[in-house]
Amino acid sequence: MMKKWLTIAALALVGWAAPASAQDVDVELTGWPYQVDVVRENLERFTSQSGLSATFNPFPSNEYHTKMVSSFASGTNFDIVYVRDSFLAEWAAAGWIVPLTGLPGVDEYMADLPQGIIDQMSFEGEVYGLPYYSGNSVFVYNDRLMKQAGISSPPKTWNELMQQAQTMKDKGVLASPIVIGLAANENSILRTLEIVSAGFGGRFFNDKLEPVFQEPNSGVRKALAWIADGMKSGLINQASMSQGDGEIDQFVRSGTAAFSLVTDYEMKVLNDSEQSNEAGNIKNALVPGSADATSGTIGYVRLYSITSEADKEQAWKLVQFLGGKDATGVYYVPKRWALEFGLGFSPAPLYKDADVRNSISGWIDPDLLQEQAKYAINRGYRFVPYFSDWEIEAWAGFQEIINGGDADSILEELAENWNELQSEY
Amino acid sequence: MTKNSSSEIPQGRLALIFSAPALLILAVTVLVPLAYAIYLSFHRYNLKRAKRPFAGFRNYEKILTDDKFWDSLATSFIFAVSAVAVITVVAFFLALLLNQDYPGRGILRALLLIPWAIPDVVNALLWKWLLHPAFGVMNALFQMGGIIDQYVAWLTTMPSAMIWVIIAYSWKNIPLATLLILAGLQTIPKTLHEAAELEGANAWKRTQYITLPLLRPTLTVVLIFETIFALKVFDIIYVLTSGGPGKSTTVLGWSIYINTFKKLDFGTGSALAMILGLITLFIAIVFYAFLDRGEKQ
Repeated sequence: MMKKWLTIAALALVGWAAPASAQDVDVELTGWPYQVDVVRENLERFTSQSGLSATFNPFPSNEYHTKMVSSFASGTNFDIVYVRDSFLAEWAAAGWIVPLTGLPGVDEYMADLPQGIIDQMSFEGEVYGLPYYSGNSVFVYNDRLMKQAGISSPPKTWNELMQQAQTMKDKGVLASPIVIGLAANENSILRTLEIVSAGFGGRFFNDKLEPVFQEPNSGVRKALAWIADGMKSGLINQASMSQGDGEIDQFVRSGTAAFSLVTDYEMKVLNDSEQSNEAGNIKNALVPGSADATSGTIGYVRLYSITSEADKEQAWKLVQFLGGKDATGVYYVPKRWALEFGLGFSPAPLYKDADVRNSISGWIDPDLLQEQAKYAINRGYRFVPYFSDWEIEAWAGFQEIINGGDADSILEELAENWNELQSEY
Repeated sequence: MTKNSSSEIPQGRLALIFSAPALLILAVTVLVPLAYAIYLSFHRYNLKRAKRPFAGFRNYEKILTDDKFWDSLATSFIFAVSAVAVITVVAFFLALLLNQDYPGRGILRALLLIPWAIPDVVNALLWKWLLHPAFGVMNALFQMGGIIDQYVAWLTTMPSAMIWVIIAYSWKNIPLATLLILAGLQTIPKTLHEAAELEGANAWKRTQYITLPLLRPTLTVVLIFETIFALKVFDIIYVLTSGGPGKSTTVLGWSIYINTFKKLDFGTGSALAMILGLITLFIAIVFYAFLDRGEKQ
């Protein structure tokens, strides 16, 4: 009798102590830990609508790519994962994520999305997910500081921007009015260079994915020279070299920078009185251009993708709920991200949604945002599996050029590096 | 009369039995990963590629024929030599100070341990904020002191990036060196100094002819430890400069990280780690030989 009770007690203890395993859950979502509580609330709504249980498994954002690749390679199973467009090709080529081809309702979702976004979510002609959030980089200026310096309208060209910065410096408004992300990481220097180069009419690679950035008088060279001059004169804040995505905000929010390039959704924080000293003063304008181009920007997409190990049918239900419509037929989750957190969105119905328009008008000019999207450049070169290897070398090379290194030899070396990787893969 | 059971076991075997748990832990935590890293270094092992074939010495050949490796090796040595020099000199004088008799010496000795007790990454983050280009305390202090006109981004240009990395690293590592030197100082009989003083030797002469020669074994140990630590530096680079600006602070530890965890090329990363290990081992052997010769003399 005693033995029986001990057995029961032991089983009860094991049952109490053992955490629910992932196998007890129908669908598991894995991603970086942005607003974990909100994600979990969304999943509860999904469960109440679908009857399927779902959990969120947050992975550290700064090492997300590395940790996910190691996990995939070591055979860890995931169902749905957050994917950045920059490593979509790598994961798709490795077979870790699967295309949506053939799943019910995919075509309807694609009809609501602009082609640029669909391209950014595709690899070898197939779409690999629905958008979590998406948008463009935008040029921002501080209207209060502009007025203080007697400048009436934002610059239309990069050279005009430098002149306005000089005016601010001369009038003692700010010593280094421009801050741009030039740190050596995924979200910084190369993105900034892509935007500035686009404004000089340049691009990094041609349609055959051959490097053109090293060519004489290329837009990339002009962009590098423009940045190097700005750093030398002090009009571009030296801190730019160590500031990445998110850190730039601090300068704009505190009023220590008047001009910057940020991601569209960051404008919500810049104009939030609880988080920004300059709330209400930060405006968006078209990214400056040059005689060769009116403007230029880069788009981004973060998407929900289904892994090769998932139950595709169940996973697709959750992907639709998160990136598409819920059971009531509305883009519930994308709209919630837009309204409450200012995250960018792509489905056309949301642009017409009165709630969304009213909400974002408080911190960004939606018409200018839509206009800016027209100047988004094609970055197909990012969707090759060796791009991440190349860009790691490129970050340091570009920093060296900006700090006065020999542009000819560094750019040639980077072009050779690209060609070598291309032939290796 | 029964014999003590331990006396029936030969001494060597008894030592082995008592050491076995520690050896087992060492084998699992050090030898197995080391053996696996050696294995990886001879393979073309990239997590992004399905095939991971045997590569022989090709990873090593690729590294040794790459200018970037020699640049990062040079940067590692510049960092290590500078940091070890700063640490040893400052620690020596701090130890001399803490070896004197005065009120509050105990408190000062306890305070000395604070930087050492702080985790490496926390120390690096602390310096990152101290040196922040817009809100950093260093900028505020230097501006108040009239040293700078406007705030400076210390970590974005050379040589200031390297100088601040060395300072931040040294600040964390001086306490250990000070404690070692202080322990060495306390083994020097006071009578030697007293006798020399009676003979008219001033403080510098006593340091030159008594303290330094008798401290030589301790200083050699400090040099060995600090050189090995400095050559392996990673955390402070990761947080403060990410190897930049450009590649100015790209030390070997950072190159290993970039190859292994950014490019996911575990083959090249492991080969680089092996090379760094061999360099460190070689330096340790040279220092030990130097120490050994000194002791024989």
